Formats: sequence, structure tokens, C-alpha cells
Amino acid sequence: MSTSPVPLIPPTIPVDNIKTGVAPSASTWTKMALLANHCHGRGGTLIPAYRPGNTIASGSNGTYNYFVQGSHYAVAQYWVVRAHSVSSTVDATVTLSAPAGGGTPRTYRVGSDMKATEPMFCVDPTFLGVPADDLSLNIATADAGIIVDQIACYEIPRTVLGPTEGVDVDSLRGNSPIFEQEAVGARDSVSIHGAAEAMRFYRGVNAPLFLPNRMLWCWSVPTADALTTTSNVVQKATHQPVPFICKRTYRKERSPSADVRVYAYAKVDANMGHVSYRYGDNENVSTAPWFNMQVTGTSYAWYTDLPMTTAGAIEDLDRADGRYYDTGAAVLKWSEFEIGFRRWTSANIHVAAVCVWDEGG
Amino acid sequence: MASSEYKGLIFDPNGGGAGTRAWNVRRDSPLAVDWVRSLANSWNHNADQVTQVAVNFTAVGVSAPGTRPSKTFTAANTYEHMISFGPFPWPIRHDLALMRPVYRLYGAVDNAAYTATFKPVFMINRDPLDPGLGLAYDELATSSTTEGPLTSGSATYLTITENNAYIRGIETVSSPESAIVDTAVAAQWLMCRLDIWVKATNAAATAYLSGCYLRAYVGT
Repeated sequence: MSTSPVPLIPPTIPVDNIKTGVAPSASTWTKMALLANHCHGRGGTLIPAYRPGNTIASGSNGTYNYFVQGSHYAVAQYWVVRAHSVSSTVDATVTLSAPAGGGTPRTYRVGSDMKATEPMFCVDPTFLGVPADDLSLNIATADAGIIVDQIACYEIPRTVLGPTEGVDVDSLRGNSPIFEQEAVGARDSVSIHGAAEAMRFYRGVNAPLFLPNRMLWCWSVPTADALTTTSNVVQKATHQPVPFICKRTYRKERSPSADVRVYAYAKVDANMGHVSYRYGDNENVSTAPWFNMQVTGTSYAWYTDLPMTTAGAIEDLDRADGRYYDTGAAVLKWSEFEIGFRRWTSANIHVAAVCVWDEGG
Repeated sequence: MASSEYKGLIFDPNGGGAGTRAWNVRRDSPLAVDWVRSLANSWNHNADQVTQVAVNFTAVGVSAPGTRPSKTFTAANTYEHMISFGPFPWPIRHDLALMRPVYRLYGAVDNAAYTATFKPVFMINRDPLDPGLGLAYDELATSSTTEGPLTSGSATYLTITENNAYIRGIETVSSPESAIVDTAVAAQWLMCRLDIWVKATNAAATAYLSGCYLRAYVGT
């Protein structure tokens, strides 16, 4: 039986019990190990729920692509899809496949009443690469066309972690020696070493992945429904500013900042186009300058460039909702970003997906 | 380094493995209490930082708002279901309460003579679809025909008044020993949902939802 369990409910480490002159108790160390395992193994949201809103005609299918950064301890993901039939008299047969063209397809029937339509689930057994990977979902329909109302994806929580993934709880129990053990693989998972080493891997110090990276916003549609423009002026793709709040890595950090990076799945018919982005920490995104990321390939591929580095979008843990406080105006404000695109030459640009990630400071 | 060697409260942090470990623990020195407290505080903070964005929908399109949910009505002043997001996993706070739902909606109505009221309802997925049975809700009215943020005074988060609701979910969910949780179990495992209901002062109105953001936050 594994000794690196992942508790469903995260224990709270009783910090007040750690006092000078008194040895930290085994129960404190055990809670620390369990909490470390919870943080590593509970999995995260890969794709926040969003509404593609595209139509898939009866007998057709569409593939949705995403750029994700998974926890390297998750071994599978599950998709949650909502859709409804475009026909008020004919239910649609919907088949989900993840990854697109693979996995174990799941089939459902959906009617036209959104209120009565149940969500659909599909497991993707793909082990995500480190540090990032391309995730895909295929939705096929028969009997009637559908409108896709929601797509979301989450890592399936682990119940136990492997010997090189979690902290060995048995090594921290009472009446046991505090010992060191030769590292298995690239990290230690035993005793106090393990509890501290788990922090090193969680926070990304000397590790390839910063585990708490998270998707802030995404939009993806099949390439047949990609946005396109003939304009050389940046066209806004997001018609409302997208609110966002980034995590605070260290509670008492004095000058926190976060890198918010945009990934776009795009192509051009020839030469070059731009996917553009800008942000504002003060609900002033409409006056911010655009940053234009080059798209140069004639086949769809993922593009990224310099991140938006923001200090104002870091969650303020002293605020009821974590939002940025504008000291000048003495008011809380939302941080927001916008996405746009344009062609730069005479050839059109096509954008099928955009994923925006909080990649820490 | 020798394996399984008992050294009491002291050990060499540079033994084995790769990389440099800049820890405040040294051979032949007692383990510093402030280091242990710092590590404990850091893990408590990490657990609260396991917050995530549950919903972030923005209408996307060129020149026009693009497809976004809209609602026509069968009667005036009666809430009707517009759209649901979820189910999504929802984190638990260090004090065993559910994390606070911070939200922002964007929308409009098609005629300034009408008022549309949006009602986001946050609920455990297994509860029935009813605007009155959620864990938390709010009501945001607008008469604007320009799509923009909907406000309800200064409220930006939904106040959960029934924290024991999640306990029901834990009691009924088994925790298999296998590393991969069955999707049916995952669907019940602390899954929440956001339903958007809307009503209008006139049945001829059309209401639009052009953005919806929901994030779990530890709160103060």
C-alpha cells in the first residue's frame, strides 16, 4: 500500500504548535506531508468552462485544440461538455473523443432544451508532457446538428502518489527516527527531506515546472470556424475585457508580479499576421498599447511571445475578493486583458484558439 | 550518502540528488524552529493558493459580438434559465469552508425601456435546477443596451451561507485505491455549478450574456 496518500480534504498545519524549545511533533510533520501530497495530487483546472458557441452540423465533427500546462502528477484528464440540439423535434447523438481521434469515445443523446440537457463527460488518458502540451477534443454529431454551449477540462485527482512524487507519510510518524535516504530518481520523498523537497518541486525552484501555473482564459473552436480578417488594423476578438486575478506565490511578497502569457493557434495564408494582446490593471485596458505577436506559418501551429508582466493583477489577500486596490482613486479595480488580431500583409490571418496562462512571477 | 542512516535531528541537505538546496538545515546543528514554521506556513499558503478559475467566458467574434447566450421570455418578471456552466471542482479552504466564489458578469438588454435582471446561482451539482435552491446567488439589473459589466452595488463575490452542503458530497463519494478516479465519481466529487437565470420587466425583451467569470478565492 502506498504511503503517499492524497487526502480529499487538505489538513491545516497547526503553526502555533511549532514553538522554540519544543521539538516539532510527528503529527505536525505528518500533516505537512499530507498537505504537500494534497497540493501535488489534487489536480487542477486545465481549461476553465467557456462557451465556444459554434454549430456542428449533423454528420460532422469538430476538433478543439488547447495549449495546457499540466501538473506532472496527473495521469489523466476529464472533459465536461454541454451542448444542445438545433432541432426542437430531433435529439442529437453526440460522440466525444479525447484526445481527438483517440481515447475511448463516449456517446450521449441531447435535446434542444438547455435546461434539461445533462453535461457530458469524457476521460482523456493522455499523460501530459512537461512543461506543456497540446490537448485536443473531438465532438461529432449525428441525427441533428448541435450548438456547443460549454467545454471544460480538469485533471483527475490522484488518490495516492508514487514514491518519487509525494511525501512518504510513514517516514514521519511518531517514535520513528528522522532519517535521510539516498534519493530515488531526481528527488527525495522521505522524512523531513521529503517535506522540504516537495516545496522545491511545487514552487518550481530548480524544477522544470511551476505547478501552480493556471489557465486564466481560453477560447477554441474548430479550424473551420476560425476567426479571420482582411484588416491591417487590430480587430478586437474579445468584445468585453476579460477579467483576471493572478495567484500570489508568497504570502508576504513585497513586490509580486506575474507573467501572463498568450498562446495562439493560428496560421496565415502567406507572409505574416499578428495576434495582439494588451492589459490594464485599472479597468483601463482600452487605452493600453497592443503587443503584436507574429504568426508566420501557413499551417496551424501554436505561437507565443513575450508575456504581459503585471503587478496589479496579483491577488491582494487582504481584500475580500482579492482584487487590485487603486490607491490614487481609493477604489478596487479589476485587471483586464483583451485579445485582437490583424493581417500584416495582403494575406489573411486565421485564429482558431487562444489560451492565456498565469505563469507566476 | 549512506541510506537509512540515523542522524537524529541533523542531516546533510546536500547529500544525494541534483541541484542546490538552500535550506536552513546543517550538519551538527539543531533544526531551526523558525525554518519549520516557515515551511508549515508556506504549505498552508500553497493549499489556499490551489485556487482556480472555474468559468471564464467572453463572447468572441469579429466586428460583431459573436455568438453569446441570449434569452427571450415567455412572461414578464419571471426568472427563466439562460445557461449553466459546470460541473466544476471547487476547492475547500483551510478552515473546511468552501472557497469564496468571486464573479463578474457582462451583459445587456435589447431595449432601454426594459430592465433585465440576471441571477447567477452557485450550487452543488446534485441539487435540482431551481433558482432558489443554490448555495449562493445575486441579482444584477440592467437597462443598458450597450454590453458591459453588470454590477450589484459593490458586490463582487457570492456569499455562501450553507457551508455544510459540501459535506454531503464527501459522505456519499467513495475514494477508490486506484490512481485514476472513475468519471462518475469525479462528477460527484465536490462538483459545483453556476446557473444563470434572467427575467425582464417586459416579455418582449431579449437579454444577452456576453461574459461570465467565476474564480475560487480563499477570502479574508
